[in-house]
Amino acid sequence: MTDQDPTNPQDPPPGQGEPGPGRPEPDEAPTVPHAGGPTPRKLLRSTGDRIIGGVAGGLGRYFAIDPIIVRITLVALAVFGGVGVFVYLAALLFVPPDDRPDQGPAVGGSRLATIAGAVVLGIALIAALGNGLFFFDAFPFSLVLLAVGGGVLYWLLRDRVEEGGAGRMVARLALGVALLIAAGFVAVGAFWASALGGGAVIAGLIVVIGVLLLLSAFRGGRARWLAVPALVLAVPVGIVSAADIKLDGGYGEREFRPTTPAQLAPSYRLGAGAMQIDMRAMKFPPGERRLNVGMGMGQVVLVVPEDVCVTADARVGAGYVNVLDRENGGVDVDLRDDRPSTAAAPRLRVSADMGMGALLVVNRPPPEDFGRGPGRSGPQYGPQMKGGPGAGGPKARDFEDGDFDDEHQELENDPPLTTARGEAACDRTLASVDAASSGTRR
Amino acid sequence: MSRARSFDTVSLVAGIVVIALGGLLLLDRLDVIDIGFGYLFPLLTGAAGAILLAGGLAARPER
Repeated sequence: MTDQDPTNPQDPPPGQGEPGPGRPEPDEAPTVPHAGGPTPRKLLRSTGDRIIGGVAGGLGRYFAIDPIIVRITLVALAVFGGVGVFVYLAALLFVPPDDRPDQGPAVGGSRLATIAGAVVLGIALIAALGNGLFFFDAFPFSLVLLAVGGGVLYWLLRDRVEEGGAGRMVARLALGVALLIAAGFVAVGAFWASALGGGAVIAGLIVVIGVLLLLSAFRGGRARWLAVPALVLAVPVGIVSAADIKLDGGYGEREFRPTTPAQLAPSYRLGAGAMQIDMRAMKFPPGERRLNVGMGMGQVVLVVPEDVCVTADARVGAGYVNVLDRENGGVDVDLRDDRPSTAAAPRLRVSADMGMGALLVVNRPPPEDFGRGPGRSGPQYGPQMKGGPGAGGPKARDFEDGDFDDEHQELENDPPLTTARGEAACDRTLASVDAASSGTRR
Repeated sequence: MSRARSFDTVSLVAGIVVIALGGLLLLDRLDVIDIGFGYLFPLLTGAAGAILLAGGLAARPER
């Protein structure tokens, strides 16, 4: 028998095998299989599995783990603090090379899965450190990171890609695309079912799949594949849960124009679509009026008279809120503008609970194509509100540098959605109340 | 067949992760807890990464 392959399925991982002929006792020093019988395990730089100096290959062989894990760890240590560079250089200087022939990787696990797992876990760590805003606040950076990761992945696996025939690669690609499409259908179905109130059922189904996976672990792991549909189901349910999307209020476009306080309902709700409540023709009586708005996915526009002070308590799972130029956007958005209340002035207190979308409280209705760039179906809010805090901010510059120049020029010619009177309504109202109080005291 | 071959660590890890993930989502849907996007992304990517990593680290014969 020649040099024994350490990845032989007959050989259990170190520390897990039963002692027997040719195997060390548990209390013996660990060894690696080698020609001529077991030899003491020694840290050597790999000459058969190397990218630069074989340090990671040697460490992987020494610890019986995939060298990819060592490489990713070294790169991470190099990026965060530079320790990885020193460790690598020290190993390069002091660890002798392994001159034995026929060196293979220390373990034979799926390298693709190992790399993918490590990358995904890294992204999870970054996302956790960034409180979940990684993909939104640093989207270009994340794209660069993913592109670099993809490039490294291809570089590491290029030999395998080149080894396979073109026909086989195409067949696998087609199968992968078909599976992705099927997964997409399942995910979309789970999303709608969850948004319509079936989220608990689907979450329970995920738990059942997990139990089946656990049971399959004792039967050789024949149902490993169940992990994939479990994750495919978990993603849409998670998005619906995080955004708290409820599509039980119908869908479509709704427009309301109350002209009297009696016509203004205390609550409006829509599952998905667009809803506009134009209150400009309505004369608000002095005092506070409450308005509850709910939207699963879509846009809500509240058009209020200029002399009404608006306070808001808005929560949006993912999207944008602008209440008379007081704005916030992103994920898990909370906008609370709880100003001191007075019974003598007209005041509208808006409570909004939205899943995904935009809430606008303005003094004049936006144009129909407001927030949609050329060829874009999704809303793009923020910099269009002239005269507000976002007008000259970074978002405005990004907007001008992007594909929305034409729309931006058009909006420049439109009157602002929020007037100076509307912006100052609360202050002016309070000032008049203060003045009235002073007069009374006099 | 040896005991090591009849027991699959990857399925064990995947099962535990999927049960935990599904349990958290179920609790959210039942209004016991509130999962926001700030927790969702690390949760989902962490679950997928743990399963992939377990699969990658598990010793299997080279093709």
